[in-house]
Amino acid sequence: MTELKARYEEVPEKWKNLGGRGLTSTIVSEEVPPTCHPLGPNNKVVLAPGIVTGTSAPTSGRISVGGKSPLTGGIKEANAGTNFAQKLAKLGIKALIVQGQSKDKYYLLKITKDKVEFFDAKPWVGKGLYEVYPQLRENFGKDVAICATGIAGELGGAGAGVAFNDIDGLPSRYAGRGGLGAVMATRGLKFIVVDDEGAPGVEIKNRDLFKEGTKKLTAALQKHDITKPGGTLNSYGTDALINVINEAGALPHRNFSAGYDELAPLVSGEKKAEIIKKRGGERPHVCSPGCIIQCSEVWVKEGGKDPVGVLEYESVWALGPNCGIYNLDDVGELNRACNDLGLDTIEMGGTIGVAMEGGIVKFGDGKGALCLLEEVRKKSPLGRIIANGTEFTGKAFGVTRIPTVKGQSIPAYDPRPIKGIGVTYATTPMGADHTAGYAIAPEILGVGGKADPMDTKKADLSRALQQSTAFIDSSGYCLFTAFAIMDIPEGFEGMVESCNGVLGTTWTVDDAVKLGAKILETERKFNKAAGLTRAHDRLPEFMRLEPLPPKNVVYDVPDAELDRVYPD
Amino acid sequence: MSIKVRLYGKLKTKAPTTDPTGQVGIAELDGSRVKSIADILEVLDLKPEETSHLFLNNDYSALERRVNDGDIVAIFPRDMALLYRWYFSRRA
Repeated sequence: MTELKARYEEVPEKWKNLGGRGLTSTIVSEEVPPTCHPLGPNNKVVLAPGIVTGTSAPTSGRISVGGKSPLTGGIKEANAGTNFAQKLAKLGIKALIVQGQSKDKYYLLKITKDKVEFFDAKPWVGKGLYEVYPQLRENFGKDVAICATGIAGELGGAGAGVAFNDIDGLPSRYAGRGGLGAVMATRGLKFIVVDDEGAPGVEIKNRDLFKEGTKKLTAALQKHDITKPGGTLNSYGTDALINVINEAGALPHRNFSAGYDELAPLVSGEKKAEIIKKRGGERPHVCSPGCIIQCSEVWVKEGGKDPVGVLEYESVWALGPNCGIYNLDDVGELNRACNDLGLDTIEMGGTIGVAMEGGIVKFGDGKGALCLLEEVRKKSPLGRIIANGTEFTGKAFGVTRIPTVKGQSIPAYDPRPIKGIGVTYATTPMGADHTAGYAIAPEILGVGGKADPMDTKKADLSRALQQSTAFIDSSGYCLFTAFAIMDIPEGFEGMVESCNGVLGTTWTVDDAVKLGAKILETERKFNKAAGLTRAHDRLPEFMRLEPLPPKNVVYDVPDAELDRVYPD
Repeated sequence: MSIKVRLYGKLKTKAPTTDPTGQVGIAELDGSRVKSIADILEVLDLKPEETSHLFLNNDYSALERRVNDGDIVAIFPRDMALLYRWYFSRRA
């Protein structure tokens, strides 16, 4: 970006079989100095589609975004489902590495099969993304895919995500976590537009094996209760978890002060599906072409107006119950503001929660919460605090109940009644991240972790889940495929075979898990060199001190058990 | 005293009333008539295969688990299964 130059390079031999998270984390660890300032000149943003992304493999339109995180101070990978990923892959691009910093202004990068061009992004700087995305399509073509950083990124906010378009062109698909939107903006890059017209497509080395593999995986996805047509995700989306986790006493309410509230059903997936149907929104919906789970949706206002895009479980929880808000219209507008401003919904839910704890706005005040986010648009001092996320805001307002790990806001499952997920929050190289250990069943991997939520022996379980997740995040498949391949072993075999088909490799299921372990090793090595130690592999102190109602339990997994996840 | 049953999703229609949110079916059962969650299903004319997650007083629970007066039982339909089974096991 310093010289406004773009060049193509052949993929080095050592990176040829990598994709998605495996590729972004490897490039970041090799090319970014671990001690660099995340917003300074030496950080980079790396975008990489998954191994099978851009092919006909089902539910595989994922893109990983990597860099050093301004939120955690460690390595970061965040991913999203969007046709941007598929278009980039079809152009034969394994990874896009953005480095340097433009001196004076923001740019838009346009990528086609013939060339890469820089455009002055001035007309679209300082504007909301719902306004900008249609303008970009008008200027660069109605079928282009768009990646953006919003106003929050312009502020250098550590809560800024990287936005992508959904299939209707809304800026609603986010690689949200870890502040990578701020890293992108501080390169001087505001937008990436991809036009894949005439693209050669993804090379598939062994078509028969690829076909066999995708057939097995498709069969598993169409059979499993959670992923099949008319199944849980298809019918209600991820927000079906609101009532389930609330009944488990683990849905954090009012800044992690309770695990259950009888008002939670008002923001449940069932309630949302009812309203969407009544108002003429869309449910189900795909985040990218070729998804057969179709968990997404389009939330709209009364009268079918002003589509927002999907309201995911994590977003609804963060901007809803965590802020004492039990009104889906308020949640929808808060989600819209996050998408519009380029903010991570989970981080902002945590941020508003601690701001409420600090007395800035009252719990339950949806309109007040929206005003807080609008301060980001104004670029006011308060807006700059909010844009920097939960930990920063908590400190600014003297709050001690700050739900973060490595500076990143804890997502929608309180770890006090679900011990295993707490081990993952504490030890993943990503900072508190529910998706980091959201993968293959321990039974399939032959790992002996007990699955009693109250049992504190969780190191083996968490490690195995983190390893298999790292592989799925590299494959290009959506993590929700894990539900099916967990129960149907042929599905996981099919996933690995389809990767082999694309790459010409001969990986087994065990090899796939070893690849995940290698990715984690790379990420942890970066974090260690960046100054993150075992002292950072801990949950916030209040979780060991404050019992969470209704089960009235504290987090009691011993530090030694946390350290057993990565004993090196 | 009685046992309060919360019925989610399409199971809501099996209950005579709803909770204040209108989203959850509520049935109050006489504790002397039921000994386990399985008995509750029978009284409500529900087959186990129509259900997915079962909770007793916020514990993820097995069908055979015993119930007592004052307990709260939550029942989810088959099309609302979404727990990560590797973090949850049913308490017997």
